[in-house]
Amino acid sequence: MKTRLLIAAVLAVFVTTLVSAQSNALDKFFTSYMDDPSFTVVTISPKMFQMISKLDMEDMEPEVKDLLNNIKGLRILAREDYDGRQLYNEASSKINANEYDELLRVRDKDENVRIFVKAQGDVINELLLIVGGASEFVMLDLTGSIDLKTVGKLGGALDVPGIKHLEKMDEKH
Amino acid sequence: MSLQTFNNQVLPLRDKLYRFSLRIVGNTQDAEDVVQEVMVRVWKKKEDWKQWSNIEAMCMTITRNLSIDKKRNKHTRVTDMPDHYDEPSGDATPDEVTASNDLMSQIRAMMDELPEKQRSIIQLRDIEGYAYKEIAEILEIPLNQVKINLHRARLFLKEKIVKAKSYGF
Amino acid sequence: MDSNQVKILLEKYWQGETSVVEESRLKAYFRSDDVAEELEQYRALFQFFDAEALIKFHPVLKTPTRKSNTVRILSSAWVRGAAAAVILALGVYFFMIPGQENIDMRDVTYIDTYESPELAYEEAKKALFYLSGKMNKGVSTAANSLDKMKTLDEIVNAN
Repeated sequence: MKTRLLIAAVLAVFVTTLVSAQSNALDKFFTSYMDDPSFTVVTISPKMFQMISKLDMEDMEPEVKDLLNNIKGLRILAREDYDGRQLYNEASSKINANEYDELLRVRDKDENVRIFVKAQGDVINELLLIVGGASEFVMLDLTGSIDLKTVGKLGGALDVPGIKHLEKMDEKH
Repeated sequence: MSLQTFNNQVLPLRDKLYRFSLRIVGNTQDAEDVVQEVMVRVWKKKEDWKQWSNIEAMCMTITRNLSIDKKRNKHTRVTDMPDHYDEPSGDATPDEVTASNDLMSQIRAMMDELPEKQRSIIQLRDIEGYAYKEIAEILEIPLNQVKINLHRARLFLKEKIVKAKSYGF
Repeated sequence: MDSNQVKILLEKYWQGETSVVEESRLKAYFRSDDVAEELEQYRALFQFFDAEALIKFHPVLKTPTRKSNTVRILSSAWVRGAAAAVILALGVYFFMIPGQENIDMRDVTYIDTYESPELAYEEAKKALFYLSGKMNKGVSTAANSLDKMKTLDEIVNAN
C-alpha cells in the first residue's frame, strides 16, 4: 500500500510539473502550495456546484443561492498566523495584466487587498481576491458568472454561523 | 435606507463587538460566531431600530448576552477545539514577542480570573473607553453598580500585580 | 506629568473615580519611556489595555477540519498526493484527447474538499461573505482616500 502511495506521489509531482507547464502562472502558484499542510485549501468543483444548486435547505438565503447557482468553481488557498505579505506579492506578480482587470486595491496598515476580474463584455466570469496581511494570506478564486452588485450587498458580516442559531435566539430573547 | 444605517452604524462596530465577546468567551472562534450572530440578529430587527435609543449600546448588550450563552453552553458540551483557538489573536509579530509579552499574558490571565461582570466592565471602560452611563446601559445595571464593580476589578488587578511582583516575576 | 501626579491619578484610578480623560493621561504616561521605577510594575496593565484595543475582527476562512471528515481522511500529504495524481492524471488524459483542447486546465486543481454539497454550500457562502467584506472595505477606503482607481460602485453600475 505504501509503495503504491509513493508511486502515486511521485507521479503526482511528475504530473503536476507537466500540467503546470501548460497552465497559467497562477494555477502553478496554487498547485505549488496546495499540498503544503500549513495551508488551508478549499476547492469546490463545478460538479459540486451543480449539486449545490439542487440543494434545498431551510435556511438558505435566496441571494446567496442565486449567486452560487451561477458560480462554477471555487478555490481558496489560505494561511493563518503567518506573515502573508510575501505570498501576497508573489501571487500578485503571477497575475497577467492582459487577462485580468484590477477591480480594486486596498492598502492599509494591516493588510493589502486586491481584487481582479476577468470579464467578457459586461459579464464577469472570474474573480480573484488576494489578501496579504501581517498574520494571514488568502487567495480566493471564483469562476462562473459573478454578480458583483449582489456580492457587495451581502455586507460581509452576515455570515453563516448566525443563521443556524437564529431560531433558538428568537425564542430566548 | 436600513442597509445604509446598518453599514454606517452597525458594521463598523464589529471590532468592538468582537473584542467584547472575546473577553467573555475566551476564544476567537466563538467570538467570531457571536459577532456574526449579533449582526444577523440586529439586521433582522431593523424595523425596531427607530425605537432603540442607542444602537451601539444595544449591539453591545446583545453581544454580551450571546457571549454568556455561548460560554454557558460550552461547559455542557464536549469540544473538539484545538488549543490554539483559545488564545486571543493579538497581531503581534514574533519580533514583538518580548519579556513584556510575558507580563501581558499574566495580565490576561488575571483578567480571566475576574467574574464576568467585572471583566466586562474593565473591557468596556479601560479598553473601549465607554462612559459610565453607557456601560450601565450596556450591562443593564444601575450606575453605582458599574462604579462599585469597576473599583473591585481594578483593585483585584492591582493586588495581583503587586503580588506577582513580590514573587519575583 | 511628574510621578507624584501620576501616583495621585493612579490612586483615583484604583478607586474607580477617574474620568476618561484622566485614564487616557495615565495610558499616555505608561506608554512613555520615563516611567518611575516604583510604577514600572503597572506598565504592563496599561500596555495590555492598549494592545487589546487593537484586536480586529477579521474572520479568516477556517480550516475545514472541524466540519469535514473528508479533510481528515485526506490529511496526510501522501494520500493527498495520491489523490492529486489520479485526478491530475485524468485531467492530463482528457486534455490530450483531440478536440478537447479547450478544457479548462483549472479543473485539474478542483479536487473537492467536501463530499457533501451542504458543507460545500456553507463554505462557498462563507467565501462570498468574506469577499463581500473585502469589497466593502475597498469601497470605504476608496471613498476615504479619494482613490483614483475605479471604485466598486462604478464597476457595478457600469454593468
